[in-house]
Amino acid sequence: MVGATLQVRAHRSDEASGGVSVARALRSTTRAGIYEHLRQAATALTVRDIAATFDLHPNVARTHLELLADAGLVVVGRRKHPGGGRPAKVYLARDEAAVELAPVQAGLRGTGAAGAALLGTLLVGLVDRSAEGDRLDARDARDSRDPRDRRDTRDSRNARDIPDSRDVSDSGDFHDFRDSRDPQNPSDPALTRRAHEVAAAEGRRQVSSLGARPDRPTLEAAAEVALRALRSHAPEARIVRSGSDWVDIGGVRGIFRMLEPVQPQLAEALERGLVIGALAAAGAPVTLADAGVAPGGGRAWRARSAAPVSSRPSTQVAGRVDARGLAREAGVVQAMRAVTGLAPGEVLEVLAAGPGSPAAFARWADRAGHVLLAVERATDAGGRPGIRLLIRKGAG
Amino acid sequence: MSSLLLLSGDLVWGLRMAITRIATEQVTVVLLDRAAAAARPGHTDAEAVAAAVAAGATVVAHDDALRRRGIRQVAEGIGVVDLDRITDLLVEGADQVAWL
Repeated sequence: MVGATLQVRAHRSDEASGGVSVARALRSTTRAGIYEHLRQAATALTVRDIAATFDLHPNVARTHLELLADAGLVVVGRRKHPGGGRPAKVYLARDEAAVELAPVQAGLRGTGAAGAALLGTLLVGLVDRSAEGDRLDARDARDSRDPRDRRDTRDSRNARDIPDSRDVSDSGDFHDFRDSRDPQNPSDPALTRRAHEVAAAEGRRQVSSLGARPDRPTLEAAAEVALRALRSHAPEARIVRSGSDWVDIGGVRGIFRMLEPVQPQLAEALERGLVIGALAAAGAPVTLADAGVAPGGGRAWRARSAAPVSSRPSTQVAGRVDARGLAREAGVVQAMRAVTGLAPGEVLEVLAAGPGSPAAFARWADRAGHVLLAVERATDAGGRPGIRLLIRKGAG
Repeated sequence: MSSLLLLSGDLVWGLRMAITRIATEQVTVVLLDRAAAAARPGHTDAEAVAAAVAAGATVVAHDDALRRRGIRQVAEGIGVVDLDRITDLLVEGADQVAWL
């Protein structure tokens, strides 16, 4: 790094003594993402850089960076401005700096190994599953088809000029001429399906072994539990964004970093399966779609609820108020007006922002005899954050 | 019979409605948001508000809306209420409620 001086802050790993542990520093998904971003950037970044990348207020970004520095994960330095003035504070991931990193790097090597170990487990499971699938297919074929019939079928296919991929060996076992189950064949749908199944089972097992349940019956809470289970293998796994019925998940790809260059489709199938299985075990069956590049790098998956989360019945929203741009009480007045048009029992969704807003809405709802069903952090389709309140109109 | 008129936009029309109803029913007018500006003495719509007060309507203004507009003093005959009181008026205060 040119023009910057770096300084390693005294790392106090003992939280009891007032320091910050690595575990605590990386517990926050945002902080884990910032750390991963710094590692990938391989250059010192300023608070403004991080704030812009992660769409944070600079003060929030600074707090995260200082905590990472306290945990010894990043190096703090100063970069002089060419035109003079106050030097900018810069942050560099410690494993990119030429400094001693014994405890931190040991931890990182451990998590990298854990990711590789999980990948190994998945691939071994896939091989077992494929072998088992071959045996079952062969047995089914033996049970259900006469060799002469098979010959006839093949002949008829030849007559239609459709290549038959299978033939029967002398022993009666199938031999696949096109080798459609060959792991070298990345477009094999059977292989992709099996990879998905194996990874989903592993994702469920990871969450089950964690033994945690979501503290709220929401998709986001389920995703937090699922990612907590996966984070021991992929420390950068995090919720990137969230909405009322979706969450964007990033950072799981790290587990498949070694596989992706040689088998991208297999890596994707395994990653999808792992995330879907983990979320299902956390109480949120989902469908996954590609959500593009996550802030801070890496790929993100958009998980949408495939069924109502947990046992909570789905809530039909009859009216909506976006009070984020309004003063606190003006927002409540808007909600008052909107709820007047609803029938008793119908639900009003309010998006609020600002300190004290949820309390103001709760106070009004309580006084007016309405029921506050839920208060949760949410992001709208445009990525704008807010606090979502669901208010059921009282009988009046 | 009582009516609660909550005005946040079209002030003059709402006040005219209040005056026409006052002969037969008890009318309460709540000035919210932009309409609260008319509670200020000397406002261009202050005469309409004064007419409603003179006709017998109860006119109140939302304290937070006044504060946001820097209005510290309201015209004579206009009360100042907080959000809790407005909530109470909505819940139990009137047979008919209209948002204008």
